[in-house]
Amino acid sequence: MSATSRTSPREGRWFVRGLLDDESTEGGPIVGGPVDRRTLLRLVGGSAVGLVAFGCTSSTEAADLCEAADASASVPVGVVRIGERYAELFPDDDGDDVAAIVAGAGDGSGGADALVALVERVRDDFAAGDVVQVDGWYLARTEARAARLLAAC
Amino acid sequence: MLIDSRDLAGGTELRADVCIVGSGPAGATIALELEGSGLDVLVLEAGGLDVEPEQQDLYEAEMTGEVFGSRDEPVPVSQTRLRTLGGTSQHWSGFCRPLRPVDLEPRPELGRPGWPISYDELSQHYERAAEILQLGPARFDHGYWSDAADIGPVLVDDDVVETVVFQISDVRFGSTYRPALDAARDVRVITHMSVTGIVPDESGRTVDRLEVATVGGKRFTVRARRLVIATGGIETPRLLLASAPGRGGVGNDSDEVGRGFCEHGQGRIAIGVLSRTPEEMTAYNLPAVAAPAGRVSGDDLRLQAALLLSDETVRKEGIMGVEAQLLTVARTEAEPEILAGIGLGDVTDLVPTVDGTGTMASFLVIGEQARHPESRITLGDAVDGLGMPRPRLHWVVSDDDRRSYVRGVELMAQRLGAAGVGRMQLVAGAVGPNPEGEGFLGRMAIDAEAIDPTDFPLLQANHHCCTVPMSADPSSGVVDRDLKVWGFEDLHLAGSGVFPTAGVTSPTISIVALSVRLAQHLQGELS
Repeated sequence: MSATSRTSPREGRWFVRGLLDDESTEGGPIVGGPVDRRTLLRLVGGSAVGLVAFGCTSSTEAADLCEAADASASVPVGVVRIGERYAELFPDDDGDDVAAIVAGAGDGSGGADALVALVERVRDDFAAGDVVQVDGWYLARTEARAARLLAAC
Repeated sequence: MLIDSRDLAGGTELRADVCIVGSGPAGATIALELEGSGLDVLVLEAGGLDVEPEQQDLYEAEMTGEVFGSRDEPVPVSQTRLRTLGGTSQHWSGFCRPLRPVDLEPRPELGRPGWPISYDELSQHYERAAEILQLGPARFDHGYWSDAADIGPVLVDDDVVETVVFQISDVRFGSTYRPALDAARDVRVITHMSVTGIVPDESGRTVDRLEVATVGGKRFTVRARRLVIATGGIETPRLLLASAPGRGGVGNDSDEVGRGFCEHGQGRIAIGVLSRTPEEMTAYNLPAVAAPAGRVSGDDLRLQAALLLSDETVRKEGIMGVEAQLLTVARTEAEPEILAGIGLGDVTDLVPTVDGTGTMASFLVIGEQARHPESRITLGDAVDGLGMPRPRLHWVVSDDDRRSYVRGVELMAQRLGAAGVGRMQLVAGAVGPNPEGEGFLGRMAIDAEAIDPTDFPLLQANHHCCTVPMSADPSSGVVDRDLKVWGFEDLHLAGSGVFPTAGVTSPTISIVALSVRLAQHLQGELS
């Protein structure tokens, strides 16, 4: 896998998958798994907040979007901010269930499955009214947890 | 026939079968519906054929409590209503959508008694009201208009949040129906005739006469078999309270005249980031569409969809009705400077679409109010140029009202999220002007730190409602189910003041529907 560039997500620039294998000191592992999983979290989690918001209603769409995310993965500063605020508002919620989904995805092609699972959980959260308000945004608890995990990267 | 009182000799006594005070949507509708009935109809309009400053000054009022306009720049009450032929319809926005069944139901938890007439008794007149307002068929659901006019898809339309469709009327009663009123054989409209008093006879059960004055100093009296006061939700209680002051006003035995004033508070208290393109949301921001078959007017029809909490939702939640209109949408890629200007640059990261864009939308959230007895019209200390006490309006917006708005936004956000359409942000209290911005969205500046769901300003919609409400018994309202003032045999009221509750829609089509009903009632009584 080739990679061409890498900058800090908090500066709003791009991470590119594949360059993180030697970056174990930055942020530390999120779910206790191998670095690939952290990368996956960055890809999936970074997208999870966003992907679910724009009509990701089927597994096929989710897979397509995951592929798109692969090509231009980032940790948007807005997501980080939301994650930090969520952590302040709900300090006892460590988002373990979201982390578990990502961890369970395994390496490589498991990303799409993890993304589908997150998308479905987010839809289920909204349908069940399991919604949190962060800076005025009404977010599914699952996506808020994903943002929190990302903010801790 | 149109007559100017300035052409009449002062001191004249005028007589008619039916005298209607006011020529707005209620008064004009009743007059036009009675044309050809054989009844002699007299309409007294305080203003002239056009808006005149000296007439508008007579509409000024004192405000206490919540203000119209913004807290920084209050709007005078006189700007929210027009004293001219056609009344306030001469500057209305034309939005038409009927009340819903839940709007008429008793809601004890909200302090609402409900209407003394059934929904069927009201709704059977909406078709005629739609004709008078020159709309299409009296259908306001998305399904119908999707088939009839291909207005585009919905964002969400389910058991919790529905997509409903407004029809927008171009009718200005003073302009549209001036030729018909002028040509009417049974209807005389006399302009510049301000009713300053309703004088009951000795029995107290009928009206002896109306006292009328003009700015030029003339005085008239009017006697009629039936009288209808249709001067709006502020002026009607003002006139009742100012008449027979020794009795506390006409029709005020229960001290209900003027109480329960309510508005449709509205505010840009939510924005959204949506996955749809503006082209996919045309139903919510439509250009004119071709008129469907059967429409009265041949002109194009203007429609606009909006989100509305379903009847079942407001029942289940125990809240008031809430509606949201999409005011403006902007593509994030097309207008990044706008988004940056309103503090959304970071937030758009939340919804990166495949092509890196999303659509921003500003929601105008509109809600109904619970009944607040202390929200009311009384008489102030000042008097106007005709010697009448000016009204004092104390408008109350309660914490419960605001909670309904916020809960409504939350429910809409949930349904949009569940449908995969997008996300909403509550920005209540956090929207300020952005002097450097351009366009509608660009003029907004949002400070997330200032979001306050408990105390945020609301703008009035210029819908003055519920001040002389219909009721099932004399102790809880001002008029009975036939809009007759309790205790009187010949005095009726019309307009949005008689609504026991105002729902969450523009009142005009319901004003017209009730006026059609009243015209039929009067014709039945007098024929």
